[in-house]
Amino acid sequence: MNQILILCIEDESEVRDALVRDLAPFRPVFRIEAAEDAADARTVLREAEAAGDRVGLILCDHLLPGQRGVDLLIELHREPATRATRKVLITGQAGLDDTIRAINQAGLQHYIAKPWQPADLHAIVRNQLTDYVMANEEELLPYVSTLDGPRLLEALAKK
Amino acid sequence: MPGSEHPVFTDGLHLPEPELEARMIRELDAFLGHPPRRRLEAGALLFGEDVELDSLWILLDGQVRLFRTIQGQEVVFHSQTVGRIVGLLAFASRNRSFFACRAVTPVTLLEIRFEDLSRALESNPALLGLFSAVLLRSMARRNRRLVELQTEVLSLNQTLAAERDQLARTLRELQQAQALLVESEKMATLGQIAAGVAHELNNPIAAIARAADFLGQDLQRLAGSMPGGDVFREHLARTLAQKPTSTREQREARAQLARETGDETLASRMVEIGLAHKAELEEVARQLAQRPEQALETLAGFHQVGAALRNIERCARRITDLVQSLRSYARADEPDPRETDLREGLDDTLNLLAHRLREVEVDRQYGDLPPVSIRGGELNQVWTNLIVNALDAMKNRGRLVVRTEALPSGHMAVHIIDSGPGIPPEHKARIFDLQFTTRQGRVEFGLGLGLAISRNIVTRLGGTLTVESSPGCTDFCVTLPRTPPVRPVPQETTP
Amino acid sequence: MNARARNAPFAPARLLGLLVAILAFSIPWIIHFHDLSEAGHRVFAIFLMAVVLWVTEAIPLHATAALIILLNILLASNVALIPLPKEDAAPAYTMYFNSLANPVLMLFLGGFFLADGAAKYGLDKNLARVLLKPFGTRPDRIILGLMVIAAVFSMFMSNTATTATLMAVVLPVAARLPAGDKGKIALVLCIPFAANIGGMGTPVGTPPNAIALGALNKAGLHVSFIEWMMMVVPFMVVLLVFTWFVLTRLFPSKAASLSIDIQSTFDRSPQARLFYVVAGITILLWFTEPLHGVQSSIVGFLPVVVMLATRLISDKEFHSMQWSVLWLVAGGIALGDGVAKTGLDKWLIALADWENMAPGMIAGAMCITALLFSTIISNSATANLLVPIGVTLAASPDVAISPLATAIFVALGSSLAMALPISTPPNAIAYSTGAVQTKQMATAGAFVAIAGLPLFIWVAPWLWSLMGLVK
Repeated sequence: MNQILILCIEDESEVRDALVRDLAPFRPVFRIEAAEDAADARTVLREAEAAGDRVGLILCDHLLPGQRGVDLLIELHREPATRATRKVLITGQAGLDDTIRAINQAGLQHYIAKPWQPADLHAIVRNQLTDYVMANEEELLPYVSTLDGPRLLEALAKK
Repeated sequence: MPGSEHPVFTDGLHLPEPELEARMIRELDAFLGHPPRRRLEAGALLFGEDVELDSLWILLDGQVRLFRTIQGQEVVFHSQTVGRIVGLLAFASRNRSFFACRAVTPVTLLEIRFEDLSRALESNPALLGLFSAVLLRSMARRNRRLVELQTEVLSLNQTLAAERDQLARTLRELQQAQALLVESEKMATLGQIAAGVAHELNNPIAAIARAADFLGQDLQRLAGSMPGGDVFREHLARTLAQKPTSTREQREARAQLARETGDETLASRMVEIGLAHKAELEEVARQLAQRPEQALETLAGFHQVGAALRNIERCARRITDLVQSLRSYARADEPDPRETDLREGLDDTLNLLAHRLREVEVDRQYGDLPPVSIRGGELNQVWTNLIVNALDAMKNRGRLVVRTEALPSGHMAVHIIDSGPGIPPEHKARIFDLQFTTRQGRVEFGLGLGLAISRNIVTRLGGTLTVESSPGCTDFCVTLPRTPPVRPVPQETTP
Repeated sequence: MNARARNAPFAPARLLGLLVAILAFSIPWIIHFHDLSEAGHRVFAIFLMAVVLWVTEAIPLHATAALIILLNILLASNVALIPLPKEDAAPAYTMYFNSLANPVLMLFLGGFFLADGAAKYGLDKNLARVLLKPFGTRPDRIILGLMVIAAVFSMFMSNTATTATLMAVVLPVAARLPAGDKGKIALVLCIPFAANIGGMGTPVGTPPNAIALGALNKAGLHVSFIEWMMMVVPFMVVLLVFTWFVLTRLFPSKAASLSIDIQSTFDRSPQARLFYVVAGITILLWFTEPLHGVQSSIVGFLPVVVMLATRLISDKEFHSMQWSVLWLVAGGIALGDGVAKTGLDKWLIALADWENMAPGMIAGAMCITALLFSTIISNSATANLLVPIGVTLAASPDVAISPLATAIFVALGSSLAMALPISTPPNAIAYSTGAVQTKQMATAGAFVAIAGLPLFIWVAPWLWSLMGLVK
């Protein structure tokens, strides 16, 4: 089944567990995938593309083994398949330079500092996915109950 | 020449000086009619500088000196080089003295008024020649003396400049020493704070770790008392003991299960709670007397609690380890040296730098080391500086070797080797220098300060800190004696 | 369901639909029906295919409409690829093309312009804010207010846009209600239901109305804007009140009061003022057709011209209008043309023995068929399929019902379908909020349908003839 993916890239399993569980409210509509490093994330993206799934949102830690989160996001932003994907950095450790780079070159939309508050996380994810869905999906109704319903409906009314 | 019509002043120049002078005095005496001699005691002033003079003196016996008063001090220009004639410059510049003249020893002078001298020279051509010759010699001597004086001034200036440079250097060194002091003071304060924080963290983290453990036990007991309790207890125990699996493995397991069950949602749900096969779920469902979907949901509840507890325990353990490392790292303020294994300090440092070591392959090649007698974490700052430098050089990516070995000399060696680009030869000589700049009143430290501090510490302990570097391999080596010298060896600034 | 899956041109379900459509299409080519002309056979084939395609949505609804126009021209016109026998009537191919410029479409286009302008200048939200005030804060009052607003809006705007706009306002309010408060369901259901019902109210309210009007025009019956309203609005109001009653009784709220916060201020820019004037004049002219005699379709062209000329509607907005709706209606008109001109209609009607049926029964059957069809498939497609037949049926001398009533019955019947999330887009919106379950929607929707049917079948003809609108 074709779905929109939320991809969490985080190398520490405990943090990953927490992040994935905090995203549970988006479960019914979105598929949540986790990856532990950049290479793994690439595998997930490849599989998703092969299955016809789109990646709506990437939540990425900065300090990853192998490749920095910001560098990964910049690369993904240059690729057509993930250009429209909303990108959020979730970290406590990215320096100002890296963050600026991510904003300028990776179209970084948000920066979540660890430790995150679930309410903030939900609000940000909801917002970002609403943006993504409004920009990229033809059918908005399936997302009304999970995402920002009023915004989606207003967009629908304008269609 | 007597008898010659036109004597020239150079006539007397071929004569030896005493004879020339004696003949001149004789001629003058003869012309003036042997006037009485003037005598001065030693130290008496003959004339001051810049005064009107109407006569000059022929020094017959004793010694005078010519001087000028500069900034309240008598600066002597001529003493050996005065010559026989005193008041020459006044005579030459008509009546004004340039130098002042003072008797050094008791002196005997023949005073000749300028007008008398003029008359004598006009009337006695022989005298004119003699006088001219004496005058020329005298002037030449004085002139040489001036050149000497000039040379002296020059060399004095040079000495002065050298001294000034020396002073500036000393001042800079003093400032650097002060910066070092401030830095080590800061480190000491930080160390104290770190130790304090570590101590404060100890209690809550102990409580958290224990509480997680209790919760696990209580949950096990509670689960056991529920219908189907054994299933839950077993599942909980398994969840609590579960090792973290990689996301790759999870996806593979899910794909496998999806093929087996034909239901992707079910598969992902099962993998999440650690069920690998459909048969397992069916078994659980049978034991619980529930439908598989129901059983899955019930199990999922237990799994979530178990996974959360497991994560708390694991993270609590990590914090405990970190706190432990922090405490032993920050022991720099211990008053007395004690037997220490260098490898502990290295491990603590590596633990605390773990956040920068994620992409670094750390190879600990620990050879056997006898314990060293040092103060707690004294060397930790050295390890930190060296490892941080290595990480900076490698841009946090590459291979870091930490090797310890006991040397045949009885010293111990610690190598911190990075796979970075190496130190350019032109910088190599200067890396241990204190390099810092002051800008807007703030001291900014370059790379050098860390190494300078490290070398200071190592030197104080009677060891050495050296570096060998080539591209791809930079090896900082610290050697330490088994027991440090009782008295700190003098601090070395620049090698 | 998702956009990409739905857009993949040859998904299995879609292929199946196409296959069935082709089968349906081939039936009249294989089986020969007595008394049906060659042209009738061909249009019958197109008709059957259209039924399948509109039911299965194997290709987009408006694509089916375009296909109907093309096939009618290629098979059943004076330029048919295989010429029609001489004795058969061969309609000019321009007739089918003309369906794309049917006056009813112009009327509808005028409606689009007014609706788009209202959304653009925030008139809809402002009116909602102003209109909602008198209803106070009690949940059932609020619900009544929302229903009135939704109904009024959807008389001039598309039901979908009305529902989406108002639902965006209502969602946060519904979310604030405690979990388990049934009022939430009423709040979320009242808007699509009211929009569906309100759509009946004017010729521009919803496409089935336009389809009915188009067919009536072809049959030589002119219905003015105000006449339509006079015929339908009374029933609309009754249905609305009934629906309100049903919803507030089925799903009462425990909350003592609700507050709906609509953030908007009247746009006082020159453009907005110009729009208010244009909209006011257009609606006024629609309402006063008997006085000045200018047809509503011509009046409908007024806002089109003015708003394009003054750039009240930008090029971009012009391009993104719902042209597919117009194509869908045009396809229906072309289908009706084909059915009528080739004698297929008479043959179809002759299949049954109408004389022995009560006129009311026939009208009722039409209405019920429309209701059932449109519960599952698009309202417009339903109207497209049923209106031509209904109007022909009514026009035949054997049957004692008015074509006018029949056409309107079909239009209203198709608007009455609101039992399932797939029945209408407004229902889909309500369902998408997650606040209402299919069962709850079906219950309430069934109540509305059960109340509406007798109202139309028995009360309407009586009232209309009382008012002198229907013979």
